[in-house]
Amino acid sequence: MAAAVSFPQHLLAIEDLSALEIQAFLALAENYTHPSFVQNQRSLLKGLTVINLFFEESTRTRTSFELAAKRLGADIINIATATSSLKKGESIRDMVLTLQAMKLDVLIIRHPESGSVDFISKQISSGAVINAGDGTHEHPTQALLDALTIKRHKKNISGLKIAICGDVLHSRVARSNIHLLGKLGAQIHLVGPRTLIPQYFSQSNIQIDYSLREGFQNADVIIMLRLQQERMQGAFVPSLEEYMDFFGLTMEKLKHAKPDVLVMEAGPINRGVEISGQVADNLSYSAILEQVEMGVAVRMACLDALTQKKRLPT
Amino acid sequence: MSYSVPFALINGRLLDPSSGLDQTGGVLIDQGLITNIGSHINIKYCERQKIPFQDCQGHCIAPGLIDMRMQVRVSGATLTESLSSTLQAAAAGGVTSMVCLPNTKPILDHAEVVSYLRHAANQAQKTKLYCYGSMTQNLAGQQLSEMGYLQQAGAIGFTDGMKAVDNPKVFWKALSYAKTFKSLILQYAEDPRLAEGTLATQSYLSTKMGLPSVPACAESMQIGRDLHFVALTQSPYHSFPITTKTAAGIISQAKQHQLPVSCSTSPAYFCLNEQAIQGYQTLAKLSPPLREESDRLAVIEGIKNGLIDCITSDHSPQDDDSKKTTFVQSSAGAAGLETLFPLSLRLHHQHGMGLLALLKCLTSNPADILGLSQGRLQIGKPADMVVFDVAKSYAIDIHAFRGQAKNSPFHHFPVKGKILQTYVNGRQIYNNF
Repeated sequence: MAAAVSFPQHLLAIEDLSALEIQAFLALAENYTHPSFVQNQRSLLKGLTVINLFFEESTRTRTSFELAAKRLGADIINIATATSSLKKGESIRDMVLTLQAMKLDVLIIRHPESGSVDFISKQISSGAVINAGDGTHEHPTQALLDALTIKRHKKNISGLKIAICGDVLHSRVARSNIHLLGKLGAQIHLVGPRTLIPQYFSQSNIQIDYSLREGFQNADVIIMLRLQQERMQGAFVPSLEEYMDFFGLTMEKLKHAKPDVLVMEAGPINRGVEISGQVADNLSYSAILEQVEMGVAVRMACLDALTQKKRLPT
Repeated sequence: MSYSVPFALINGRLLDPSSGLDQTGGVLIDQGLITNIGSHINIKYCERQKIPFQDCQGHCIAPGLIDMRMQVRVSGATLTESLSSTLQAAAAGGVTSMVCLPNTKPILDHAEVVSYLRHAANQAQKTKLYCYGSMTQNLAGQQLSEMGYLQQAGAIGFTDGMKAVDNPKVFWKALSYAKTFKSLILQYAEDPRLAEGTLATQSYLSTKMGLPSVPACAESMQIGRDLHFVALTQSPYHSFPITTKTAAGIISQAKQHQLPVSCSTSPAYFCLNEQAIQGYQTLAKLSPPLREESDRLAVIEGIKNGLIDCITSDHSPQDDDSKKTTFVQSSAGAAGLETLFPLSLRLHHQHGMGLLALLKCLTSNPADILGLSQGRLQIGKPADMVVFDVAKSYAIDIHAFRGQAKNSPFHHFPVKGKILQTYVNGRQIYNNF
């Protein structure tokens, strides 16, 4: 299916995308959920170089990108910066310029600092940059795969009531989702203790609730956010027990939502903290494993979309 | 008076601050609630309905006092005051509901301790005892306490009691977190680093006496700092106790800006000034310390003009020995349950404050701040009431205290106004008619 919209050079933030561009990514990704389509694309990126440049630990996302690149026939290199030249005092800028000199086509970056991927994208003159998560700012491919998962169950995102529950303050996944789901017309409810819900999200389509009972009322989708336990030091919540009791998702709390509610969470999940094992494993509600599957499809679509200009026949 | 049959108090001066009621009449009580009130509840009514009654001989009938800052001793402290002794003192003081600070042993930072205390108090069926949960675990000012669990167990607000939570990040989180549960944060009004090791207010007197002292601004500094976070979170905040003119000024500005702020003080701070510690008088050693005369007058003015919302007892029982020592080593604090009422009445008798307005600070204002339904002399409300003689002149006698703790700087202090009877849920818990 030919895209009516041309894709951007980089995928850095959902905030930068229009609703049309988002729909185009999702339409392409939907194709990549069909094994026969994937088979046909196995040489799409032959001869192209994709680099996973991860400044932060990751198994899931890195593997997902690696599989996506390999299934499209690209040459994929993984650089874990713990063993890189940065340890020898090289600046990020120099490292990126060096990589570019080796003719890279796609640079996939995860970095612990917000805005760092944007900085790197400005250092290179050719090639596409994909943000695999920068600090607490954005994680665009996660939001795209979340949206794809929702569409497979609910058809249209517009008009859905979607509860995003947990540590919104520190979550790049939450921010990307708020942008994407908002642009596609969903009604968003942010739910959690007041210490973890910033009060600045006050657009007309966003409501803030401090109790699960109110936030989950008639929800179509519940997106749980992992409680990052390192937050305990910051005095944001008093204890894991209280957090689970008041803000953790259990079968009991699901009763407030619609009977066909979809439960999602970007892994890794903490069983017994933000979500009970019972809910996570209940396939009538939980799409958590399906999200992982959608992740590979979405990342194949992103690699396809961002290299289209490069692959134009000469 | 039996609890299980209806009865009436007649021929009294009915006073209900929240509705403005001030007229002669009676109150009908049934099943622990006020079921009728007004001038028509008189001897004829009672005789017609065959209802037992008590003639109040023109004395005042008002809602029972609600004391939102006091301390209880939970265990291992029978030298100072047992829970049952505190309840006796409260009954004698006309206090029908009170809220204790979390600095008990063990600390009220766990739901089980809150449940135990509530249960023990409920068993006694006397003054209603509520409690504040701690704002931080172990009152250490670092980690938030489990406010959700504590509220579930019955805590009606959160405070670290006798010290402020000073770390700005922690305090900000505490205000935010409390708002999650629609609960109130109460903060002790004093910068703890300035107050550390001090025993008196900074002045010529304390300098002359050679006592380490804290400047009055330590109070407004803490409040001022806190108010920025109150503005940021719009989370309800109560400051106590207010003892200085600069603090009164800051609270006034905050209220003008419509911040969700309330505050209280206790009688020591409008009846005494620092001169009371002359001669190293340990009974006048309080925390925060007694202030200069200009502060005392500002506190009076603040109560009269509505800036200060409530008057509390700040009841802090200490045993004799802990006060019978040098000023430096002496414990701080005074027993206050049985002096709260007569001392507060000085604002009416000596400073021209209307009786209803004064009683508001002791009844419906604390009730409103805490979200309690009592504190009103109205149909349908719990029959928590006092009968008092507004005019009786006498001198405070600590040996007549019903409570065990006698540590009060007000022995022989001349006052006017005396509690005659106290009722909780229609049950008479004190009678000195």
